[in-house]
Order: sequence, then C-alpha cells, then structure tokens
Amino acid sequence: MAAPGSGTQDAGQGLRGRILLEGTIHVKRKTTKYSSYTLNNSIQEILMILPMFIGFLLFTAYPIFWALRWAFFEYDGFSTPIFIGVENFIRAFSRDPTFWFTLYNAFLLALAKLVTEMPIAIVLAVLVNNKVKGSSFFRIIFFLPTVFSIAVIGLIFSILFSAYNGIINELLVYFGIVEKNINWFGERWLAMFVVLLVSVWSTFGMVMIYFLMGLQNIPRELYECAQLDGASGIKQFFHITLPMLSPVIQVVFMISMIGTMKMTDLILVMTNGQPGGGTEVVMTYIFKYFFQYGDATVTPSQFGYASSLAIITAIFLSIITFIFLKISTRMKEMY
Amino acid sequence: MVKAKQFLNKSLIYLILLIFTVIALFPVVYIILASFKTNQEIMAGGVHIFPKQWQFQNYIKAWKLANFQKYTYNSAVSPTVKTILKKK
Repeated sequence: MAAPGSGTQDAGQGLRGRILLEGTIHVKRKTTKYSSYTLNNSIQEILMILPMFIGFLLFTAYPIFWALRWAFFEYDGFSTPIFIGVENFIRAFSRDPTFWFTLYNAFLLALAKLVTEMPIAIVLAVLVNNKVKGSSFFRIIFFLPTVFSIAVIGLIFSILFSAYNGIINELLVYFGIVEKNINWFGERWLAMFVVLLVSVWSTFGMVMIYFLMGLQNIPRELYECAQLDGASGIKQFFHITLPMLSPVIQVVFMISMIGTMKMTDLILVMTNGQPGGGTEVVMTYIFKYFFQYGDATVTPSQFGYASSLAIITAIFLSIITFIFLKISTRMKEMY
Repeated sequence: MVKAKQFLNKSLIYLILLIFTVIALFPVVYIILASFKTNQEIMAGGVHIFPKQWQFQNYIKAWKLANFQKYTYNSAVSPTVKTILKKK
C-alpha cells in the first residue's frame, strides 16, 4: 500500500482509483478528527475568553445600552422618566452652543498637546536611548510624573500657580521676567496654557517610554550603514529614526489624542471650567449634567440630556479617530 | 576638532536632559519640602523653596487627625493579601 500522501503522484494507472479513494477516505477521517480537535480547542478558547467577555458585557455593553436608552428620555434620577424622542438631540444641536464650545475646547487642547508633547517625547527618547551616562536615571526621573494620581497633580499645580503666593509667580517676579503677579486662572488662554502644561507634564514620561520601546526595535545596522555613508546625527534622526518610528508615532498620536479629548479629572481639580466656562471641556460639561454639580435643588441632574451629549461626543470622537487613521495610513507603510 | 565637537554634543544632550529633569522634579520636590513647612510659611509665599525651620508636625497631624492610620492599613493589607492569594 502506498503512502496516502504521495498516492496520486507515483502510483500506477490501475491502482490509481483505489488509492485515490483510500486517500480521500483517509483525508476525510483526518478532517473529522481535526474538526473535533478544533471543537475542543474552540470550547477551551471560549471558556478562556468568557471571564473577560462577561466583564465587558456587564461593565461596558450594558451601561452603553442604558446610556443609549436614557438619551431618548427626560430623567432626573428620581421622577418617572418621560419618553421625548429625539428632543435631547435637537436641544444639543440647536440650543446648546456651550456644548459645542466645550467640544472645540477639548479638541484644541488635544491638538496643542500633540504639537508640544510629541516632539519633546521623541527627542527625550532619542537622547535617553543614547549611550549617555545615567540614562536609566533620567528615564526614571522622566517617568516619575506619570506615577502620581491626577487629583494630586492638580492640587500640586494649583498651589504652584496660585495667583498671590504661588512659587511660579514669585520666581517670575524675582527674576524680573514679569513685573507683577500673573493671575494664571483668571483668563481663558492663560488657564488653558496651565492646563496644557500640567497635562503634558503628567504624561510625557509615558509617551517617552512608548517611543523608547519603538526605538529599541530599530536595528542598529541601519545606523552603522548611515555612519559609513557619512550621515550626520541629525540626518540619521530624520532619515532613519523618524521613518522607522512612524508606526509607533501613529498609535501614540491616536492614544494621546483620544485620551486628551476625554480629559476630565484634571480640569475638575484645577480650574473646574473657570474662568466663566473658558476651560470647560466636553467631558466635564457632560459630567456636570450627569452628577448634579452644585446645588441639587437649583440644577437637578439631567440623565437623559447628558446621555445624548455623551453619545454625540462618542460619535465625534470616532469620526476624528477614523479621519486620523485614514490620513495616517501612509505612516504605517513607511518602512 | 572632532573631540571638541563631540564634547559640545555631549554637553548639549546633558543640558536638555537636565532642563527636563528640573521640570519633571520641581513640583514634586517643592511639595515634599512644603510638607515640612508650617501653614503660615506656605501661605506667605516667597521664593525660598527650603523651609525656614524643619518641622515634622504635619506628618504627625496627618497620621493622627486625618485617620491616615486606617487608610495606610487598608492600602497595605489589601494588595498583600491579593498577592499572596494569587501566588497560590
């Protein structure tokens, strides 16, 4: 009997049919065996995925369903919810310019953060990746701000930047950079600047670590070749490091942008939307509708409206992310 | 010439790293040092970063008045128990 695998090729004409038959039978048996194996396997896979999936259903899908439901109701948490159709959405689109302003604010912050944070993080990652003395020390120092909780960071910086006795003001006056104390949280753009500064301060270490991981994946031979060809350090940076890093840059850009658009805690702790709603971002705005901020008797929480705002924001975020991914596909194919 | 250029490069790298070290560390160091100041000293402001006289009253106060003992106990016990149970 010929080996089942090679049967069709080197067997004689007469035997061919039989062997083919046998071969098919053999293959058939093998496939049934294989499929039972995969069945077992897939049961195991499903079982292994189940704890996570149940968690996802309970804590992500279920709340999303409720948010979707309340978006079509008028509900303050106590009285019976009233179904009002798309009235919430109409209100958001036609009668609530503040919401769009906060969305614009969040987008502005995200953009400004990208522009400032990414170059800093890339440069620092490249510098730290070099063979300089104490590079691990610097890595730890730069990562340090990421460890603190946002609430603590907000408190620290509101002490540092306070208008009358903050150390930043005192230092600026002492060195003669400004003549009198700056009221950092008294003007919209100054407050936005401080918020931007703090949020960059709190995450640039993390982003640097991402880039560092990307840098360590770049083969050293490329740099050696470049050095042989006589490319200077800056040329190497622009022609090897940046292109090789571009997939990482794309992902980090996306994560950072979405993260900043969703920034809530920092704003709540530092400025709480002051002055005059100038630094309010979209998530704090929604937060204040959801969890009746301030006097409950004056402004009862509006679950329905907040849910519809949240849904609109989610859709906008997805659109922005989608556009960004479409634009930046070239970055992924760069090397 | 090459040596001098290398030295310049190295010092530039260290300069940038040091600037960012100061930026990253300043708020943290300031707060740690402020924890040794009295309330009046913090409120008075001024450019001095180090406390005029070191005093540990804040830590004693936080530990006793703010029920920090309980919180520290809670945060210390729950991770320990979790880790031991996980290890099997």
